[in-house]
Amino acid sequence: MKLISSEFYKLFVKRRFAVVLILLIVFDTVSFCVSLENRIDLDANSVEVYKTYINEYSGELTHEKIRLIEAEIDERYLNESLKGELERQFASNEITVEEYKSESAILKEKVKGTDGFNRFINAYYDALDNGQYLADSTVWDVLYGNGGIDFTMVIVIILMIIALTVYDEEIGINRLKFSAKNGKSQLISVQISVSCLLSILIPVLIFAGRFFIAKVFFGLNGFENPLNTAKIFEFTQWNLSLLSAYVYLSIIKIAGYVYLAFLTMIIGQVLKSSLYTMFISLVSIYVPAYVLSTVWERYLVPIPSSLLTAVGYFSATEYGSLDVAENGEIIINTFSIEQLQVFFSVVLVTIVAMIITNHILWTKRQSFK
Amino acid sequence: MNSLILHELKKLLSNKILIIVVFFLLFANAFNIYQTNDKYHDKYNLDVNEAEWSLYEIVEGDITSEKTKWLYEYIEKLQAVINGEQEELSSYFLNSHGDLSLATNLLHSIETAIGYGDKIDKLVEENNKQLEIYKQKENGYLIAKAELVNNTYSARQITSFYNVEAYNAYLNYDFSSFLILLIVFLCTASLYAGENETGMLPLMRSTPMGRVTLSNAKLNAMMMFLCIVSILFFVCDFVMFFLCLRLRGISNPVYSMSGFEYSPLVISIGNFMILSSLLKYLGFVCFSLISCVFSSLLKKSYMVLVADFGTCICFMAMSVYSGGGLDYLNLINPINMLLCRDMFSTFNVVNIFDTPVFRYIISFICTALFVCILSVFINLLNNTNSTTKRCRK
Repeated sequence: MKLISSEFYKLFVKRRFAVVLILLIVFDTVSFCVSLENRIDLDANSVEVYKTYINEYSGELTHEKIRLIEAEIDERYLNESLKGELERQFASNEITVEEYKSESAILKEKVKGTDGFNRFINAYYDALDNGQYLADSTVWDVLYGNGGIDFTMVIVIILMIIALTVYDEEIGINRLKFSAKNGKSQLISVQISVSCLLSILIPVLIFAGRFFIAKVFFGLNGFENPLNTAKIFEFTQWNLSLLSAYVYLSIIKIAGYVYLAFLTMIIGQVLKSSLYTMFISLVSIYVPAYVLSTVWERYLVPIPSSLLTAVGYFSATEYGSLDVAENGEIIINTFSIEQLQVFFSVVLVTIVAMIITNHILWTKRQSFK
Repeated sequence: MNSLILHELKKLLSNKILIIVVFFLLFANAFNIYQTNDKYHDKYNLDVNEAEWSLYEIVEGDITSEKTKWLYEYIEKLQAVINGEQEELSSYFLNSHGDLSLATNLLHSIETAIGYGDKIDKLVEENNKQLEIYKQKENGYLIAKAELVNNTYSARQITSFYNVEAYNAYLNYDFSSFLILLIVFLCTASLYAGENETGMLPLMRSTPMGRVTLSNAKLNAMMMFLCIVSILFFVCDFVMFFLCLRLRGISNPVYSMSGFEYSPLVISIGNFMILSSLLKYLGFVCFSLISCVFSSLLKKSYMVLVADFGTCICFMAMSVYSGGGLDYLNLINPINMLLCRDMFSTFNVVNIFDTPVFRYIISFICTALFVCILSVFINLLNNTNSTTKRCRK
């Protein structure tokens, strides 16, 4: 227990990783909120109108709901044409100023928030195409991300491993540590455990934080809605709810970060240099992600970048997920349960093998003589 | 001084990890070009591609009336065959419908090339009308700008036809620039910070040539290494694109490429490729000097790497979000040198004391000045004796 607390103290206080973590949380929160604001991109009236309609009609589209929505659309268009006609009459002096003011005030109230209403209509037509489920997927689309790799999280995980393990090797302190009573056995296990724990906790903190912000400040709802109501998973064939898909995606990404952490540890043990460790770790993430970006099967290659993108496992609407046949039909690339079971088993075995390799690499070090 | 530069260069070239990284990334680059273009060919039926190339090889080269006449007649024959007015031809490149589609597209491309001169003449004509108006209003800057348009676009013709669209793919390829940037960051991160980490810095600074001379030697060696790496990658790009996409018509003017019809440059595609490579090299030098500043300031080389990536992301964001003061900051943005094709694709001028000057000239001068300022700043940083004072304490 003392060893664990001393490792945390060394990392967060001595190596100032607490500052890095705080910066990550602040940066992630700000960028997430900015992404949501940009995605919503509606004035206050439009947001209010959109939310009113979505809350009233969200869920499975019944015949009654469709009838009511169509009536709303007709009424809206009627009011807009009346407003246009009123303005034409006022411009050609067919009505007085008072008449114009009184009637236009009523009509303006009825047609306010046009952008929000149009967005609701788009969601309605999407629902008619996707299987009759109407939901607000704006916030969910931002929450799921776009299939890219979160650069700041990758940097923080790598920095964490460097500060925890590689730096000690680089400055030669490890030789001193290994000569101590618990240096070769308990200390190594503690460092591996702390690395594993933090590479799980930090992403959990970030993903939970994003979920909290989306729920509290941006009205995230529709947890039980089917996955294909999210724009990014429009063509998915997985029968999951939005919430469960987010949980699964988060778990897959967390596995990716754990994989990255142990890969960085092994690279650090071999190269014994913080600079090269950081560089090789970054290259091992981003170069395969770029080179294989057009290959659909990259999601079955057991490398960290496959897990860190994650959305492809549920057939997200991204390059490689969809192909177009000669007759114009859309072909959806998807994985079977068996394929995914084998793949994730391989990943799990690889991570365990990495933990064992790390342990062996460390225990074979010569203690200071 | 020369022996110091050679010594520093030798240090870089004998760094096994650096050399392995360079060759690994070179291979990744070549593989990426191959598999991206391989997928491009697979997507569009190889037979169609081969037929298109065979037809194209008949008409490529100088645009002559014989070639266009042959194409017209071939299209007429194919139309007659399809309408049943004529028997099937003895041989096709693909089949009757396929050949008709390919030949029609090819004819359209040739006619576009022939019609380019007229299109530009119309532009100049419109510009002359505008020039008259500006002269009446006595607006000196707009008059000068209109005259510059006339000088730039007068007497342009495309006299030979080649499939130059492959050059667009080559010029839009940025993965190798990304990889060279990675190598730049790796190389420069430990240039100064590495000496600090190993404790050699105070010792070196106590020697007669340990400050400015050594700093200059390191910078020169780094630029030479960068030059070698850049040449390797540029040659790799060219060779792979040549093999995968059959680059042809390198002597055609740059304005014969789609997207460059209104380019202010009057040079061949080959010369443009050399120019863009040189500008990219300037961009890499700028990034490397920024990294050297971080390396001189920070104590840990891996933190220099983090700072480098952060700076790169900031510059990329700057180049995307333009407007207001960012337009002026973007003049020294090294990303503009790496994406220099955007500067040359349109007529873009900047008002400098009522004189229109091409934006690419201003951008080049500003970036070059920025490079000089950074070099001086790095030497100043390394000339400080504060480190030796700390050692004495």
